[in-house]
Amino acid sequence: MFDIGSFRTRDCQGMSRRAFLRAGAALPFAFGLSGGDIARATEGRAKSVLLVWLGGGPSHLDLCDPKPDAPAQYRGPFSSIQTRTAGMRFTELLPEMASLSDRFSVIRTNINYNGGHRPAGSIQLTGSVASDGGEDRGGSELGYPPNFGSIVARHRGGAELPGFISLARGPVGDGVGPILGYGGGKWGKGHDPFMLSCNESGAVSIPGTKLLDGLSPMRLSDRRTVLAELDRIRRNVETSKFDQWDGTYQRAYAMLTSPTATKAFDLSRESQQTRASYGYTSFGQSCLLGRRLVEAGVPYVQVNWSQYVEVFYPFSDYGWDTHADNFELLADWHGPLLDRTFAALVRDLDQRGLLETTLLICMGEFGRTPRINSIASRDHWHPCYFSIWAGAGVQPGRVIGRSDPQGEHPATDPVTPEMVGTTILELAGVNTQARAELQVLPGGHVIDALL
Amino acid sequence: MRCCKLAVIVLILASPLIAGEPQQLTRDGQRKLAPSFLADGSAIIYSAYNNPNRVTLLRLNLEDNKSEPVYPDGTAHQFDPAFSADGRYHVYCRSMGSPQIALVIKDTKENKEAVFKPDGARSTARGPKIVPDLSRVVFTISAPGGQQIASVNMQGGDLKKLTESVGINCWPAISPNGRRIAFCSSRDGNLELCTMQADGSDVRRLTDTPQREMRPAWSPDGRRIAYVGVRDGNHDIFLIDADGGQSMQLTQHAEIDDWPAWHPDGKQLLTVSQRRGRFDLYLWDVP
Repeated sequence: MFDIGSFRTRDCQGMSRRAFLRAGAALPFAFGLSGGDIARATEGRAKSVLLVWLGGGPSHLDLCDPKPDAPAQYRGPFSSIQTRTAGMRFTELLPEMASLSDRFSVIRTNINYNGGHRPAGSIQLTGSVASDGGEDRGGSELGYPPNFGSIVARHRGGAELPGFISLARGPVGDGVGPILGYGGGKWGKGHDPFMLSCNESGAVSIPGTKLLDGLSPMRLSDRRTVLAELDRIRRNVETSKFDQWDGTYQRAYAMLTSPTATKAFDLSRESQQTRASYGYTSFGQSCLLGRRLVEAGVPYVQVNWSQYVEVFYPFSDYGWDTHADNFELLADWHGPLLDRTFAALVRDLDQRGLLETTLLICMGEFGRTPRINSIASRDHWHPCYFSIWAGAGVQPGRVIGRSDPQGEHPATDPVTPEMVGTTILELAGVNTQARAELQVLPGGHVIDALL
Repeated sequence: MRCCKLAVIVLILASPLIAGEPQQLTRDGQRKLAPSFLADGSAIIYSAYNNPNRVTLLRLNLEDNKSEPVYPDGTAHQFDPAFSADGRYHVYCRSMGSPQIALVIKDTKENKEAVFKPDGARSTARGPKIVPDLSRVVFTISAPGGQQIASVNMQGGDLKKLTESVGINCWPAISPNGRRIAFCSSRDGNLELCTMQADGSDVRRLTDTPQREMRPAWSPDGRRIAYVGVRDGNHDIFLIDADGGQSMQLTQHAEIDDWPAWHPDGKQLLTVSQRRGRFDLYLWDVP
C-alpha cells in the first residue's frame, strides 16, 4: 500500500515555512539529474547496490566474529555455532544466517577512523573524513564527499525512479542530528537520497512530507487529483518559496504516481509467505521493499535498521547503540530480527536470480568494545568490526581477514572505508576513469579478496 | 566468581511434545515482551513495540479481548510489568532521559510512586518481580559491578546484590513461597538456568546445554519452572522440575516461542509467539 496522509506542523494547520523547508530537505534528487558530464555510464556487474545499514554499531563479537576462547571479560554469554563456511563461526543469535553463509562472505577486519556515530557513519558512507572538521567541529554536509549512493546515482543519470533511495523514518543519525555524509555532500542537496519510510505493515510514505489531505492510494494514482491538491496547497504557502517547492514536488509526485513506482511500492503484490518470511517489522518490510526497488531498477538502495542509533532514548527507535543491556537486547530483539530478515533477503535475492546483478552489503559504522564494560555491556569500537557482502561477483562462502584473539584489532590487513567505497563503486560500474572524472575516492583500491 | 554449588545438572533430553494447538489472544502482530497475568486471571499486562519510538505497557482484558494502555500519559519507554497478587503494587521499568532505565514501584493504596535509579548514567534495572510477602522487589541491575540479581524494598531503597558473579545474571523469577529465585546466568560460559535461595546463597544450575536458556517462570504450585530453550537456533518453551529433575519440551515450532508466563490456575501457559512473521500472545494448555 502507498499512503500519503495529512501534514500538520505544531503551530499551524496549513503548510508552514518550517514544514516546507523540512520537506524540501527530505526530498530527492538524485533522480532526474544528468550523468552526461561524466564518463559514459556503465552498470558494472552490479545493476543495483543494496546496503543494509545497521546504525549504532552492532557488536562484532556477539554476531559474526565470536571469540569463544577469549577470557570471560571479552567473550560474552552467547555460544558460537558453525556456519556453512569452513573456519567461520557465528554466535547462536544468527542461526539462519549461519545456514546461508555459502551465499555471502564476511569481512572481519573493517576499520574506521572515528569512534563517534555521526562522523564514523559519514566516513563509512563516503569513504573519507571531512575536510571541514565534520560533525566533531561544526562542519557541514559540504565538508564531505558524496555518499557512495549519490555517486552511483549520478553516474547512472536520470531515470523514472530515483537513483538513490534511503529507507527510514527520516534522515539517519543520532539524537544530535543526521549523519552529514548521508547524501550529496559537497555536490549539494540535489544529490541527496530520496527518502521513503516503510512501516511494519508495509505502508510506504515520505518521511516528514505528509501534506496531501485525504489522498488514498487510488486517488494518488490519479495525477490530476495530485496536481489539483498541489494547486490548493500553493495558495497556502509563500509564493516566493513555492517555485522551488513546486518543482521539487512536481517531480516527486510525478515519480510517485508513475506505474513503475506504484508497482514497486506496493508490497501487497507479494505473497503472504514472502512477506512473512521477512517478518512484519519496519526493518523486515523495508528490506522487502528494498528488494522490490532493486527489481524496479533503482541503482542504489540503503535500507536503514532505524532512523536513530540509540536504543531507548525517548525519541529513538531501537538502534544498535547498546551501551547498556547489550546482551539482553541482542537476545530479545536485535539478534532474532536481523537473523530472520537478512536471511530472508539473501534467500529471496538468490532465488530470484537477483544476486547475479545486485551487490548486497550489510554493515554499521563500527563495532563494539570487545572488553565488556563495567555495566556488563559494550561501548563503541571502531578499530575492528565486520561487514557482509554478497552478489555481483563477490565470491561467496569466504571469511576475509582475521581479527586478533580478543577481536580488538585486525590481525591481517585492515579494510578501510575507502576500500569499501571503491569496491562498491567499481562493481556498480563507476570505474577508475569515472571516479577520476567525478573526483571521488582518489587512489582507492578494491577489496581484491572478495572477488 | 561464585561457583554453582550442589549443582543438579540435567542434560536436556526433552520428552515428547505435550502441548496442543494454542489459543491466540491478540492479532495485531506487534512485537511484545514480558507478559504476565493479573492474579485473578482477568487480564494480561505486557510491553509492546506499538509505536516507532515507544515501548508501552498494555493491558489486555480477557473478557472483551481489548487492549488499552496502562499509563496513557506516559512519555517514556515502559518495560517488564509485574503486579502484586493483591493488586496493590505495580512495578515496571521506565527509560529516563539518558540510556538509564529506572525501576518504578507504584503503591496504588497510598497513591505513591517510588523510583529506584541505579548508579551510573547508563545503568539499568530490568525484569522486576515482587516477593510474595510484598516486602521487596527482585530485579536485574546492570551497573558498575556487572549485571547481577538484586533487590530493593518497596520504597526503592536498601539495595542488596544477590549475585556477585562474572558473566551476566538476569530474568529473576520468584518461587510462590518466596524461598528461592530462578534466574539465568552465564557465569560458567553460556546462559543456563539456575536457582538460588532468596538471599542469594545455594546457587544450583539446572541445565547444561550448548545454547542458551532464558526467562524462567515459576509455576503457581511451585513444582515446575517454564523457560525458553534455544535448540538448533529455535526458541521453544520447556518445563523442568524445580529441583532440576524431569524436563520436557512444551512447544516446537520453526518460529519463536518466548516469554512464558503462567496463568494463575497453573493449567495454562502464556507465550509471546511468532507465527507467519507476526508476534502475538498465545495461551497453551499444560498437562
